[in-house]
Amino acid sequence: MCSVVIVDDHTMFRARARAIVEAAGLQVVGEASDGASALAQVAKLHPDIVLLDIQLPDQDGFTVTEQLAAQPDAPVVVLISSRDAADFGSRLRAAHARGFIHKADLSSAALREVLGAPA
Amino acid sequence: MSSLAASRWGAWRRSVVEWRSVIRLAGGLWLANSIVMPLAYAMGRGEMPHARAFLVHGLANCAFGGLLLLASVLTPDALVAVLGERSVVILVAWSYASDTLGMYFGGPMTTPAMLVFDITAILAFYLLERWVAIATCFVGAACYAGLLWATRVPSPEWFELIYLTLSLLVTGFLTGRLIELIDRERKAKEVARAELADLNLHLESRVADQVEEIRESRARIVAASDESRRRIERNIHDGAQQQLVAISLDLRLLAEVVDQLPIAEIRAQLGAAGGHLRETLDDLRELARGLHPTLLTTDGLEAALAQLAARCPIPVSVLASPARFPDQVETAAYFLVAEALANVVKHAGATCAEVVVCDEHDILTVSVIDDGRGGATPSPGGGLSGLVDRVAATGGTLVVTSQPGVGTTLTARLPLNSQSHRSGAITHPPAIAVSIS
Repeated sequence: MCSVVIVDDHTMFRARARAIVEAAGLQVVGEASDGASALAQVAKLHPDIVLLDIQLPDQDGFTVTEQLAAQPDAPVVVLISSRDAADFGSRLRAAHARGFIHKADLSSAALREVLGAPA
Repeated sequence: MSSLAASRWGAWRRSVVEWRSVIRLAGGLWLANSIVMPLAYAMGRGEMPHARAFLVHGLANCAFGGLLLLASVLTPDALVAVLGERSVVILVAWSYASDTLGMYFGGPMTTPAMLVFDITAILAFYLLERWVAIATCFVGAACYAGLLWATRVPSPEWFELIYLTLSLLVTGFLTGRLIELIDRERKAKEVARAELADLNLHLESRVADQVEEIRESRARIVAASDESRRRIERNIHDGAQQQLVAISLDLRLLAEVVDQLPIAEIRAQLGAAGGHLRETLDDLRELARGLHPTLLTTDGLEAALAQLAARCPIPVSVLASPARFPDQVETAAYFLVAEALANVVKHAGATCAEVVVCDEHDILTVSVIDDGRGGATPSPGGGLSGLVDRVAATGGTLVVTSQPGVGTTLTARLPLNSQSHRSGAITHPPAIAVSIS
């Protein structure tokens, strides 16, 4: 079973995302509310997947993605946001992430679609 | 400023009075000349050898002197304005012209000595040396007095000589006085010119200061508008958008497990989603009201302020006229009160507040009074500075009185007449006074 860490500063969203991720048959091993604690959680828990919000209070999700990608046995990163993908333009295209899901579109089907796609 | 204007006016009046008296004296002299000269000749010689010449000379001088006297009584200001610095030249030129006229009709009046007096007087005028003019006349008078002395016994020429001596003495005094007046006037004009230049310089620097103030205020308004747009974006993102995301996820989750749930649970979850949607709608409505309250447009300032007061966490009483005012003024007054009340709640630690709005003489006066800790000071980018700019944009004034321990009173005066507030924005820049006592 794949392990997942959810990173988002809204508790309300994290609770719902956990339910959806678990409904998709994945295991949520940890949660983080900002970039620094996300990096710490990943270093400690070595998850397979990180569901990462782009707008975090301390740094943006793209910077966290680059730092995660630089690590040995880097997790798969799925970026999420309540903004449209088009709002992030070239930064999203250049990011070392498996894919992007709009927060309102998060579902087991959407997760399967992104994770099933080649890196 | 007004006392300076009054003293200038007084000086000008005094100068007109002095000019008038000198011109009257000149007019009187010519009038006397027209009577005494022929009389002197008649008494001295016992006959009128040049009757026609004396008649013409006398009539001309009588007319000129009479005209001067009449004008000095009827229109003294215009006379002074017309003669002014030209008076010595005009008077001397007339003297020369009347003498020449007399000579043309066969009279003996224009002698080389008289010509010398006339030319010296004109020269003295151009040099503005009154002592030269006075000395010239007095030397002439001394010559005649000498002749008088030399004849010893009363002779037929005595009357003429006495008259000529006195006449030249008066002419000397007259010319000296005129030149003194002209001189003083020139100096006064120079002083006035210098004062005007000073005033100009002062005004230029004031205008520059005001332009700078307006530029800074514009920059602050633009920055405040950018900041408010960012705040609205953040509010929408953190509020309504997150709530809608949560509802969307709840429904997706429900869709994934719907066939495993009992119907009562499904109904409960759908009911909860409906409730969340209603809350989100309320939040959006509140946000929209913050952008522009609908009640202000439909029912006016009094109703909108009452609604604002009702939503305030502390008791706020509103005393306002139900009248409608221009849109721009109503909006400015509403947001002024909204921001002021927000400041009261956030910083003043007040137990209650009062809003008073009244319109008088084309001015809408808006006051927000609280019983908080007082001591409010305007700081760049602070709430008070935002209020100052908002009031300045309407051409109004804002006064904040904030005594420590007594509370804060904020009074804005907003012009209601768009005409006056347009000109007010240009010629009378907004006076912003913040008194902290």
